[in-house]
Amino acid sequence: MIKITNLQKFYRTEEVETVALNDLNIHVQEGEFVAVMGPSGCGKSTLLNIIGLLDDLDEGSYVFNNVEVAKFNERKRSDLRKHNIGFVFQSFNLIDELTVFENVELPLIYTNVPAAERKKRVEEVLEKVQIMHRRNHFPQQLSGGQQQRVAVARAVVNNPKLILADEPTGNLDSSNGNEVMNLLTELNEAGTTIVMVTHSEHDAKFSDRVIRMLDGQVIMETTTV
Amino acid sequence: MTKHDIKSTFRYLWRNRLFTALNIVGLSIGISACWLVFSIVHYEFSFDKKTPDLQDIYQIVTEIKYEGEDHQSAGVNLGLAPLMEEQALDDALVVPVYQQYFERFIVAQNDGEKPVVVEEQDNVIGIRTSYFQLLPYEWISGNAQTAFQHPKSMVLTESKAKMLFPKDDISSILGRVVMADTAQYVVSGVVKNLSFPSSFQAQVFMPVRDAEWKPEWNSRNSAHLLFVKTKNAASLQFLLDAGQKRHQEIAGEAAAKFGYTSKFASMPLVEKHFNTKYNIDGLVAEKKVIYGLIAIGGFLLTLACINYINLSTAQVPQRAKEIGIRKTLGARPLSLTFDFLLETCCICLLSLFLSWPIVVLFRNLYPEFLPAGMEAYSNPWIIAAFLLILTLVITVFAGLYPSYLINKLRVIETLKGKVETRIQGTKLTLRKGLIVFQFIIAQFFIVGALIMAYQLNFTLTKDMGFSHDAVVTVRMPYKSYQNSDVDPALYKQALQKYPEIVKIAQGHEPQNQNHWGNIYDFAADTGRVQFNTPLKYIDKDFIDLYEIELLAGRNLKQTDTIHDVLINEAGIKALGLQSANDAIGKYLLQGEHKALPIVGVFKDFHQKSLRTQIEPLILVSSNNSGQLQTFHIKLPTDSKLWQKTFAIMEREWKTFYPEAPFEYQFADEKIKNLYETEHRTAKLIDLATAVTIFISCLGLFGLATLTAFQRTKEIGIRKVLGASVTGIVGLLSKDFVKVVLIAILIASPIAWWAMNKWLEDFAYRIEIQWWMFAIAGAMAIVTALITVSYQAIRAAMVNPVNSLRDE
Repeated sequence: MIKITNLQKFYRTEEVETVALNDLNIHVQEGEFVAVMGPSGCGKSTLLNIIGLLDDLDEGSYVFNNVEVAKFNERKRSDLRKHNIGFVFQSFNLIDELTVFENVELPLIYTNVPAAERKKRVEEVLEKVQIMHRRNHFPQQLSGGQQQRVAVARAVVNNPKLILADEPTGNLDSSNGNEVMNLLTELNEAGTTIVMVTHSEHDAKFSDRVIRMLDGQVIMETTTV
Repeated sequence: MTKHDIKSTFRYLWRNRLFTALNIVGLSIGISACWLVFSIVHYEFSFDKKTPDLQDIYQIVTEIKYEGEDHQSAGVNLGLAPLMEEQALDDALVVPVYQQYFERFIVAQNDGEKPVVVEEQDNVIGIRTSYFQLLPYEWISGNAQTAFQHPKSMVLTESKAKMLFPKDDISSILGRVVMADTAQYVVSGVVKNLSFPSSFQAQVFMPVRDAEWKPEWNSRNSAHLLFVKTKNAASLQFLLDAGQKRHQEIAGEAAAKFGYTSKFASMPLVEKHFNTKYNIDGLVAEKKVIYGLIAIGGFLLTLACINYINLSTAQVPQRAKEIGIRKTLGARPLSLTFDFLLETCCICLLSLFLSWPIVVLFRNLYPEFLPAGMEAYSNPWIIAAFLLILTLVITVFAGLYPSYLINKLRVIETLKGKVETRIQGTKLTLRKGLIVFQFIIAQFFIVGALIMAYQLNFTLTKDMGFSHDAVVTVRMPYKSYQNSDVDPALYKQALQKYPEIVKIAQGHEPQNQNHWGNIYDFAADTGRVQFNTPLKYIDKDFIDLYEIELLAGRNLKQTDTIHDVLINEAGIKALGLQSANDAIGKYLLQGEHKALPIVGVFKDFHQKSLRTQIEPLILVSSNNSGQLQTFHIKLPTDSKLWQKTFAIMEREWKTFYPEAPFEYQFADEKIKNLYETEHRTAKLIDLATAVTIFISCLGLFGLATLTAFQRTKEIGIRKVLGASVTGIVGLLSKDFVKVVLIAILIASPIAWWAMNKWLEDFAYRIEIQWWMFAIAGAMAIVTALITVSYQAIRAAMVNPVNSLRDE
């Protein structure tokens, strides 16, 4: 599903050029659950952003679902993203002005799903993450675990092929964290590909494969099962 | 547009209520200004537009050349209308409109009830039936053909009929009698008022009197207007030529003798409303003023939009996360732009609601700035359409730049909370530029308002050359039924008995804009010279009451036969005399038989407003109430006695003039009224100053908020390192003071130039001083500091532990 070869990514300021990712190669199969680990600043978040088409790459190739997307413009990327990729962030990133229901509904609006259909799908997914009773609450009225469940619901409501999770349990206590990991595992078992950046060895155990990075390069890959 | 968008927009606006409120207030001021200006402009430009065949109607006017100068008169010789009517072919309609004057109309009532009396008749005209062919009057009763069969008939408009016959059904008043002064007129028709703004304002129509329908070519009066309607330009020219020829035959010789030429010309009715040369009824609008108003409206709207842009771009960093999320979830730039424009549109609409009470408030507080009669013809649909378009224009104009910024935000950084806070770098950003621009305008207005206030104060406090403290004036009755023939000296003598009346005199007001004058001959050393001078009629107590200083000779004596004359220093100079004493005993000759002896010379005083230099002036003794016009009464120094004095004055007044109302006015007040235009301008400028300062402060507040947000971390570090709250407030405020200083530097020379221009209208004026700019600058800086300090202090008080925490 994801095939990245010889990826280079630099950050330039006026005087310094920093290599963020250096000649990186990654393959992710459809239906896989991959964890990316490494110390702060090793480039794992940059990698995740590139996979999620939020950032562009300087050199190399990125094939997503057999299509070369490295040179896509913003519009094409946005299209690809909204139909295929769901995001879960460490800091949840829910919109404060929208209720739980409306936050989850948002991706469906951007993909022009009709209102009746939207309502059905949002309710389904809210049931799935067991937050239906909070559907009319605003994010700041929820606990961290509940917020992250909403974020997961929002990530999957469009039935994306791929979910990108950036330290999804980073702001949660262990029991809430486990709940979220169980949710992700369930999704994976239902066929969704998951790429997750994490610091937690515990969370990494939920994945099929762990990619370890250092200084912008993959240094080790281990299969967990 | 989905329900979803609107809901989240309103939630967002509510969460940021402070900024929403600032935006709404700012924009509503801009919208109100445009609303008012549009109403005025639309009204002024709709004048006469609905007159049928507007393009074919012309007013005949007179152009005069005298002593090398061009003069214009809206009036024509009485002989012109009958001549044109006689010579006109079928393709031309000749319409004389002769202003009539009546002291009052009286309508008797049945059953011994008090008659209806309406004073001060204006808008009464003498016409021929052609008038009703020119204008589309709708007849309620009577008709154009029969209305003027009788010479003493009268047609009324509906509104006038209601005023004169308040208790009657106006469709049944035909044949009723109206006493116009001493003549009886019979109501022969009632027409509806014109439904559109028109240069034709008359309310009462009567047939042209025989006395005004005669071949009179030697005199002209601006009360006699003439219109011609024709599609044929040659026809119009033919009539003008015929008139010119006849005028030349009859009055040509006299004109040549007095050294003037006069020519009939045509002015299209289309141009009448904006042609100030022929303004006789005060109805004409100046295009210059209209364009000035449009500029002010545009200015205020621009300021308000700038503000909106400032405040909303200031919020971009705070809302970056939301934008990032939306982008991540697949929102296209277009949909983000749309969302933001929707938000702007909501704010505009809310501002529109708020501007309604503002407009109503302005109309009530400043009715003098709105053309009279505007309300009667305002068209709510056109105004609504304008406001709708305005809202859309503001939405796009004010919303585009912030939405551009929103689209420029980089998603990854926003999601990490690392917002690109320095959106434009630290140098002179667009936003700072906008603030500078706003403060330039604010500073300009502050300086303007200040200098105007000083000059207007100067006009009141300057020594006028006569003493006007505690002096009141009372106009002598001038209407026949008010006993105006009673000798005013009787009232004067009656008052002189009371100790409360310190002094009493009769005569013209010492200072006003009225012009009375005459041309005298004076026997100088070099022969007879013509002396064209303004004059005032006074009695012998006048110069004592006003403490006008005599430099030579004696005060005038009052007799019925001799008219003594006092002359001022400027007059002495104009006559070419060396000293004041030289003038005493000389004569001013009026015609061949009348000689006025100069008995005294007085010190120059300001007989007109400070706009003009002191000119020659003579004071002439008189016993005639028509000439003297006004009583002048000096009140006691102790103002506690004034009420009693007024009571005495009124009691005596009623014994001599029972029919005339007793009305007095302080001389100080009259002097102030000479500068009514200036006071009005000053009032408007004061308002503009307050509004621009207010709007500029809104913008500054937005910038301060942004800066405080951007520098949170820096402030935290400084505090950890030991900076005090005061130090940080100073640090944050310094930048804004700089912005305002730049504005002051740019605005001051512009304001200096403009105010110098304004002051040039005054022959006697204050000097513009450097400290006026200093005061204005200090005001701007203090206002700016107060505005900024709230955010600066808040930022400085934040616990650095919070601002330095980084996840």
